[in-house]
Amino acid sequence: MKKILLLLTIMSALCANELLDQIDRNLQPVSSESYKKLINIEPDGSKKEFLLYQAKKGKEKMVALFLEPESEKGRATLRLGDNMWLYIPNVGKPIRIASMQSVVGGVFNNSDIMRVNFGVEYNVSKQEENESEYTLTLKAKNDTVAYDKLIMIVDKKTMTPKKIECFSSTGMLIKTLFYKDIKTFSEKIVRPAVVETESPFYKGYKSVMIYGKITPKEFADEAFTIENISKAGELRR
Amino acid sequence: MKKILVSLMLLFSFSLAGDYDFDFDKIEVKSYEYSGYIRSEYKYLNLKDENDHVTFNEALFNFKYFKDIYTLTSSLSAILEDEKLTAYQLYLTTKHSDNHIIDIGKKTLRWGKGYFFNPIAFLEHAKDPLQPEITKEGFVMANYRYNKSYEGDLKNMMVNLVYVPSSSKLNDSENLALKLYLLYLDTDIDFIYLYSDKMADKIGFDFSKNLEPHFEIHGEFVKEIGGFNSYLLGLKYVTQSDIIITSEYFYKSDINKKILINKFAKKEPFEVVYSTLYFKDIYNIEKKSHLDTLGFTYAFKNDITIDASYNHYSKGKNIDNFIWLKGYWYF
Repeated sequence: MKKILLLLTIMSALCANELLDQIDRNLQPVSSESYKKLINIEPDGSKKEFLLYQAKKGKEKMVALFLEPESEKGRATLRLGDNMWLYIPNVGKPIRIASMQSVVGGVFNNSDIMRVNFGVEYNVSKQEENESEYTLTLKAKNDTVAYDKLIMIVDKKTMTPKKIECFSSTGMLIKTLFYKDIKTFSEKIVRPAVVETESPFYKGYKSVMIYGKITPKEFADEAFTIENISKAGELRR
Repeated sequence: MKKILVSLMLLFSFSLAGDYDFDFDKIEVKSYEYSGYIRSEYKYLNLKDENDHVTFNEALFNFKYFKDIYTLTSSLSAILEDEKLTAYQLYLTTKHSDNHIIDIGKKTLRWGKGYFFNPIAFLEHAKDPLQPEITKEGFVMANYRYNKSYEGDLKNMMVNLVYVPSSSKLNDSENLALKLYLLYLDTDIDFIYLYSDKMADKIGFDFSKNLEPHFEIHGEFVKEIGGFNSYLLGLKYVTQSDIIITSEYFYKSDINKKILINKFAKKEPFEVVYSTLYFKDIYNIEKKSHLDTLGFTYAFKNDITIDASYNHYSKGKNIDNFIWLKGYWYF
């Protein structure tokens, strides 16, 4: 009986993690490029906008390049597994950074912008469902991940997140992400185009991420190396 | 009343729609790229005998042109006080494949892992620890790189071969450097050998690694064959309250220079986004003297960034302190 119970538990965990893989695939193809706009909205309503280009390959390679504003133009962040570097044109070389640091200021940190895949960083520890939604509790696989626990509400129809609450290891709510505005980007990419973020640490502030374009594209592995972080713009060509 | 509410909701949704629109013209790929800044500085010096002030104004223009496998990179600097126009960089890159890259022309290299010092930066102008982020003039060189990615413990390897002719004004000597970069076990590692026809050869080693996501260590070591040695050890630590601590110890044997730098930077203090409050202490261990800086930076939404600081010398010969105002406008 014990063996059967153990087998059932393992099978259910496997199914839940497959579910997470499917969500990852629906959010972004395995190898792709995307353009997105970040808007930081301050309590007085004033805004600061950032335009980003991102290239991604597999489950652990990503590079993001700032195209706007002018003060950030040419800045690039590279993620290769757990390694993350920041390139600032004036500094002229990549420097290692932490995933919790914020490159743009405001509510989004590097990890939010540079997340390659939920399945790489998290295991599903609990799964619940009703007619229209799954509720997944995700536990970080190791302490290099920015948030220790996520509670993700998933829309069954599109199999994409609707809301994600991010918690620290002490159980403190760090931020909440709201996924909105389902859009068809290409034949196989139907996903929310807008991600709104709020944090109790930034009362009155809101950050919004808007996806403009997501296209499947193949890249060489060498595109994701510190040699090429300063040339991330060439991947657009 | 209902009509007013509906109108207000429509107006609100239209204003949101505008915000959430995406301007596709902005992501059009062009055959060229440009960027740059105008930098203006004012230093008020509180000298022992009298007061003085210094100004510095520079315009920097970066331009890249892309054609097939070729890229032309240029970086031009105009300094008002010197009435001087300098090409910091002007070189042609040929990318034969994802693995083979050649640069020929005037280029600024940035070797080493230190933030304030780079003893391993053999083919560069020395950094100023007071403003390590300032772009420096390069040297004329030919630079070949072989870049290769792998799966496993060794994720990336790059061989970097640099030839700097004597005409480049670098010690008036001919230089040939070989650098091997490895990303091994999530650690950046470089080994360097420098041959010079007039100076002693040098060997160098550097590394950088994140022990934790919020804790990075780095170091550089240099040995001149039959001569001096120099090294640097450093760390970067991000606290839970988002204070970035950067510490570096630098030593050079031939001039017995020992310097310890500690910088504490608090991002977005008092919930002021896009700002940083920082304190930096440069301690000259031999002279037992300090240069302490308390500063504040703010990035405005119109691409202007300001940096205002108060700097105090503990044992300044001619100077007690200075106020330093810096402004950048990026384009």
